[in-house]
Amino acid sequence: MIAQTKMVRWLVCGLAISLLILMLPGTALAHGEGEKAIVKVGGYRVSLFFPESAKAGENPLHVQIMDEMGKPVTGARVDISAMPIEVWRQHRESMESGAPAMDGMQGMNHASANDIAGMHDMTGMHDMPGMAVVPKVTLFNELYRKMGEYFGVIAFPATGHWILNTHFSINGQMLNAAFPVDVAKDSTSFAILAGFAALNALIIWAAAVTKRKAVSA
Amino acid sequence: MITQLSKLIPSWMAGGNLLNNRWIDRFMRSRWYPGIIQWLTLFIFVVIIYQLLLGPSTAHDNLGTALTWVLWWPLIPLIFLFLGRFWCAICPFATINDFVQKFVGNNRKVPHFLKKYGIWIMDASFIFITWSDHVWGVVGSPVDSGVLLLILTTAVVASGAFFERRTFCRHVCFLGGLAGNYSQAGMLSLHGTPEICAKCDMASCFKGTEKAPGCPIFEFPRTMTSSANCVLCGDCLKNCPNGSIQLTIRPPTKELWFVHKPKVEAAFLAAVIMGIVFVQNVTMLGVWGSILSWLETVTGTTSYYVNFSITFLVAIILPVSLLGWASLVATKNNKASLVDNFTRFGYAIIALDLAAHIAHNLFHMLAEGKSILYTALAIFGVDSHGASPALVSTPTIQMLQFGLVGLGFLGSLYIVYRIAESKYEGDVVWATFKPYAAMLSCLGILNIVLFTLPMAHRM
Repeated sequence: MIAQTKMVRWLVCGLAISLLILMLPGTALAHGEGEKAIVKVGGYRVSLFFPESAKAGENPLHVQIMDEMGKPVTGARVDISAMPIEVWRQHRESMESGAPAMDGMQGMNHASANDIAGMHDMTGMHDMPGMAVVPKVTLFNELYRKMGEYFGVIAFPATGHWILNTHFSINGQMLNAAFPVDVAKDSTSFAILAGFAALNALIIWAAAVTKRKAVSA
Repeated sequence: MITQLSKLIPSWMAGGNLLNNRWIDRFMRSRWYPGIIQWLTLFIFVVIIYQLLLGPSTAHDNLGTALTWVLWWPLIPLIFLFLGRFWCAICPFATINDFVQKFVGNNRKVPHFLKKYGIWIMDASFIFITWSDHVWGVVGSPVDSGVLLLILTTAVVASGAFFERRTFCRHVCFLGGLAGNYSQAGMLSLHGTPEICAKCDMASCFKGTEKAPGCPIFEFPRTMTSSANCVLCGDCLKNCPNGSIQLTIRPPTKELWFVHKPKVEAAFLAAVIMGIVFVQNVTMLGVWGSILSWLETVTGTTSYYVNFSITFLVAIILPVSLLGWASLVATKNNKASLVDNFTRFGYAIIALDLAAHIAHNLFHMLAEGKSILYTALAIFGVDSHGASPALVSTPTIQMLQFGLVGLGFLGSLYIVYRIAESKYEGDVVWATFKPYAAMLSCLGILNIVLFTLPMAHRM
């Protein structure tokens, strides 16, 4: 009976420690701050905001559109696609070297590189037909009760430098902007594995200890 | 001259013992069975865990996701149909349990509450995991799928470390209830020969010998009347000194024609599974967005937790209520209690459950099957983006789905008839049959309607 009580005590302590270990990576992530990028395009102020730092995999993303007066723009169609920066550069070079103009490009306003902090010589562009990799276009929905704010989930298949091609359609006017994003390696998986390994090791150790005691008794 | 005729042995098609085939007998008695398959599945499990947690972070590119949710999950009901609970014998969790137990196992008795309420725990965990998949997107997130498998692994390690045999598999595993139900509709049955077992006082099939441990799932072939908890591990076959164990093929659903000890929790789960199949189908339809928008207006909240939970609850309550209604109507004709009717005839839904479940998963397997190859090739740098993952066309899949649901519906109807016939006589048989036939018709039609609508891919 005493041995059993001791075992239960050991188990509870072990589980508590393991849960703390498991919670650590989550706590660390919760402190990670998101990034906000702002661009002025066609008289509108467009903000992109990741609630948490962008990582490989699916990331929630908010887009806010304001007009010149600072009022939120509602009813816009917003779609975004992600593209590795190397691929994006290749397409930009091919466009500059005289590739035929794409449908819908005429009359389009381009985001200026200088409008985006940390961006150099970047212009907005549409996804091109015939690309080696066709990026998935995600349609963003306007948030209920949050006028002018749009929400969607963008997937980055890998870490590295990416470009978010952002397309807006406001009152029939087509706008386009490109945002650079650094996608960091997600270390959560290692932490999860380590946490579970520790928990399982603890259980096995507790079982080994209680088994030995039972045999000796 | 009188020649003694040798005893006629029925063929395996006529319910004859498959162990009369020396190859099958030798394989199942060998020390390689089921170990050789167990280690193979364990290896694949390790690959899956590695891929889910450290592989590509999008489900579309992850081999672990493809192997788990496009191959394994759709195969599970098919395995139960053709091979009973054989999967449980080769499940990596069982191997981990046995491995841990061998070295540090305390072999404590199964806690009383698990024996008493284990099946409700299984039912509840199955419902919870299905619900959580939808609200947290477990299937669509490789890391979340990996975490789910690691949580189960930890539970198995704890069970193997402290409790005897495969306590987790018998009393806790979220698939246990479903496996028990489906394997009763399955075509493979292992059982003792009553005449031989009656003379045996050794019970080595349960206790174990130096050849093999006792039944890992706590079954005693001598008194076993159901396949619900037989995993076909072959341990009893190796241990039995009298050659009593038989392995036979039977028509699908045969065991459900007369269940010796029907359990209300199994009947309840049968109805719940039907609801879960509805949820799985509805949330993959194009109209799901419109349903959600409507729910948002009704509930006044955009919370997916709230709106999905309401949908989930309604979908589960629907078949349970229908079964309750049919049982209530039947009580007026057969004079049995409501609970008695609910318990006894609830088993009839299992055939339709199994058919609808396979039909749903058929879409994932046949419309996304090639993704297993593509994601595997991607590991070696072969890019298959843009290629269709479908193995056959959508109309072909739909025809198969309709055929399966039709077979399941007929199977369920026949079970109701057989149960009623075995219990009642004359007009009472048909009077009992009618309300359940109406209930099954509703469920069958609902399934057919859902399968006519286009579904979204998992990968």
